[in-house]
Amino acid sequence: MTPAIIETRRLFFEFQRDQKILNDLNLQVPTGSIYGFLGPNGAGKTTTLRLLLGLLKKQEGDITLFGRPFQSHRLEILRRLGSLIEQPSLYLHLTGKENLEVFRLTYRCSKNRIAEVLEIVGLQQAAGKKVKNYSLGMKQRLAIAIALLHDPEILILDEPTNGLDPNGIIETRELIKQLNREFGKTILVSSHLLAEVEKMATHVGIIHKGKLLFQGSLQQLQQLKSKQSTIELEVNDTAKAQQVLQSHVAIKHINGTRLVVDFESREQSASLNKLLVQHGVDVYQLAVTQNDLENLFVQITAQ
Amino acid sequence: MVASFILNTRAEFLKSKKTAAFWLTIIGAAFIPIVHSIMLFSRPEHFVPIFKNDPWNMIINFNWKAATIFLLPMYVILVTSLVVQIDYRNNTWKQVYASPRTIADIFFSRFIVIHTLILFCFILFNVTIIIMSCLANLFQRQYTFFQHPVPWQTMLFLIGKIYFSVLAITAIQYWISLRFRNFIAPVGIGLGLLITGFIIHDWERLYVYPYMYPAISFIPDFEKMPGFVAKSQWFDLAWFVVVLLVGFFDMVTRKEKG
Repeated sequence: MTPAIIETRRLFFEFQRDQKILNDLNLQVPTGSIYGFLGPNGAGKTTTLRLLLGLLKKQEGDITLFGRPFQSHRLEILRRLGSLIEQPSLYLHLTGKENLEVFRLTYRCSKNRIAEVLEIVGLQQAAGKKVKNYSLGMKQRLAIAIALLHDPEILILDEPTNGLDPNGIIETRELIKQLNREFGKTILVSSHLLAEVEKMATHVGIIHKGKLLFQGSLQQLQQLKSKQSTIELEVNDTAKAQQVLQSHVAIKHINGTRLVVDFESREQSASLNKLLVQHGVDVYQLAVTQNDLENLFVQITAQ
Repeated sequence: MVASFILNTRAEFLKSKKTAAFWLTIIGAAFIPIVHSIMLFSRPEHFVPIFKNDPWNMIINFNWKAATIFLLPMYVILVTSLVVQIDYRNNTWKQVYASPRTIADIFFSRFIVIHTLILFCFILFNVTIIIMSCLANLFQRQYTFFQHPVPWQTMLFLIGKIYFSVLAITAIQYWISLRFRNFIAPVGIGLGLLITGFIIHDWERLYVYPYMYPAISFIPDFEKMPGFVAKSQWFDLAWFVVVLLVGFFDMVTRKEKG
């Protein structure tokens, strides 16, 4: 496995006594990955990212970036990473270009870089407009341009597609993939949408109530998911259906007129249907359960 | 280190461009001199005899008198809050703290912007006095501004003296503005402390009270009390240094930044 460029070890955090926001978090973001940091709202994603950037004072545990502890190498580490935390942080009374200029001075990069990042995010036309007249999608892209200004090795993006329209979501996702593929950036991106993460991440970490429930590659997550998939059948006679199916498939549970059985393959779904019909059981509905984040949580925690 | 501090201070100046703090500085500086020149222009029969012998010192005193006691400290309170507000309003503190800048850099570069705006306001105030007086003289030829040289030295001395008198207020207001996310709290506290100063104005130890230093440094009555002005200046300096350090320490040790 490639070495972790971002790593936390036994990270604990609480805002109030005995209310753990992070509980023994061990994050490992491999170099060159798009790491989808997944969890419902309030799971501790933003807290983790704020700790990684030094916006919150660390309480317990270790944080290392580029193999160096954050606290003793803060400036050096911040010079090599770009970030976007929660809503875009922009100066609304300034133009897009002036916003970039403010941060260009801080990062001490060349003037050409402004035009370059504007091109990467596709904002050349709007560079002279005041940011208060930007749409949310444009603001988000400008914020990413700022994060890219100093050509950082790591990008930390907190819910970058939050509040965007479908088009904006697709554009941002493509941009993230492009930055990873063409510019070799390691990107840590948080989201509360599983489908969103699946479309772009190479690695996934799932956080719930401050604990990391799963961490691994996207393939590993998908294997886990298919293992956990089920078929839900709605029939007229559950008792009879149970009798018929018992010898063919493991029945997980019965819920009113519905039976839930393990999913194996598409062909198996079809044959189960046939079997029921042959035995005179009416099938009203047959569906493979979509594994959304909530279901996945339930399943992982039930393990 | 020094180079990046200069660059970051430049970035802070760029941020304050075209903000309320910037416009307040310009309008605030021009307001009183313009009102006075309208007075000169519209009532020459009253003002020509008064201004006959020493027109420049008279008009300079007129203007500072109108400004120093209330409007000037109020301007300092407002401009300090407005500059700090730039990052609160735009929700950009987190971006500032997540950029490779030391806390000292973040703290002091902004303080420099506030002080530059205040000094700029003082200079603009004097320039407007000169221009507006000359204009009044152009339209009302009886005035004698053109016959007398502009007292540059007096002007510079006054700017220096009054600027020194607001140092303590800037440090206190800066700290308060950094502590509060909203704009009303620091302005309200500042205004309250200023009004408290007026209420206790005949206290024999008024020299310990920062919000009255502009008044103490300007009103001649205080000169008559031996050592009073000098004491106020020492206290001014002490307040400035101590509160600035406390504010800085507070920023360094804050658990939640941005």
